Amino acid sequence: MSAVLVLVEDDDAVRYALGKKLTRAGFEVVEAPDGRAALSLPEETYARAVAVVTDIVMPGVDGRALGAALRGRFPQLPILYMSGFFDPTRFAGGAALASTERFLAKPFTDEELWSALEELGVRAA
Amino acid sequence: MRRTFVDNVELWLSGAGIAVILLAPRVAHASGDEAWRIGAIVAASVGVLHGFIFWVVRRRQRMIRAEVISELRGMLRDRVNNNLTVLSIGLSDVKHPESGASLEELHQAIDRIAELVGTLSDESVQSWKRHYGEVVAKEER
Repeated sequence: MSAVLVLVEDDDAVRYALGKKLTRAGFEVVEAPDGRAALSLPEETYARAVAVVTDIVMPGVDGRALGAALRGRFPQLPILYMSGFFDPTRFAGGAALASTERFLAKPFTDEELWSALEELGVRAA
Repeated sequence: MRRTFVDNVELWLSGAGIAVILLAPRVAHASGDEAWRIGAIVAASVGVLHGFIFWVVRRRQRMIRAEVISELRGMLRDRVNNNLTVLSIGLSDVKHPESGASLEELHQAIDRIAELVGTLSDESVQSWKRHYGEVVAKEER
C-alpha cells in the first residue's frame, strides 16, 4: 500500500508536475487546489497521510493558515511548505518552524525536494 | 481636473507664488522702498514654502514608486518562480524517458513567463493582489 501524501497547490501546472513526480516516486498523491479544499478532505486521508506538501501563497486559506489548522488536529503530521514568494527568513515572520515542518523555496531541484522530505522522515512505502 | 493639477503642480505653484509676491505690496498699500521690502520678504517666504512643498511631493513620488516596484517584484517572484519550478521538475524528468515528461510542458512554462512579462501592468499586479488578498498584503506591510 502506497504512502499517502497530500499536495496542496493552487497553480495547476506546478500541482500537475509535482503530483506526477511524487506519484512516480511511489506516493499516493491526494491533490487539493487550495487550503479550503485541503481542509475539507476526509479525516481518513490525513489519518493515512505521511505528509502534507503545501504552497503558502494561495487564495482564501493560505498555506500558513492550513498548517496551523492541521497542527491543531494532527500535531505529528509532517508539513513541507513551498513558496516562490516568501524566502526562508521571512516566511514564518521570524518564528522558528516546528520540528515536523520544513520550508522549500521555489524553484527547487529534485535533490532539494527529496532531502526536505527525508529531513521530515517521509519516504514512499 | 485633480489629475491635471497634480501633474502640473510645479507650474501652478510657481504661478501662484509670483501672483502672491506681486500682490502683497498692493494689499499692504505700500509704495517705494516699503513695497520692495514687503515684496522681498514675501518672495523669500514663498521660496521656502515652495522648497518644502516640492520636497514633500518628490518624497511622496519616491514612496509610490518604491511601493509599485515592491508589488511588481512580489508578483514576478511568485509567478516566475512557480513556472521555474515546473521547468526544474520537467528538465529533470526529461532526462528519464520512462517519466513520460514532454517538452511541451516546458514550452508552456516558458510561454507563461513570456506572457506574464509581456502583459505586465498595474492592473495585472492589482488583480494578483486581490486574488491572494491578506497573505501577500501582510508581507508587503
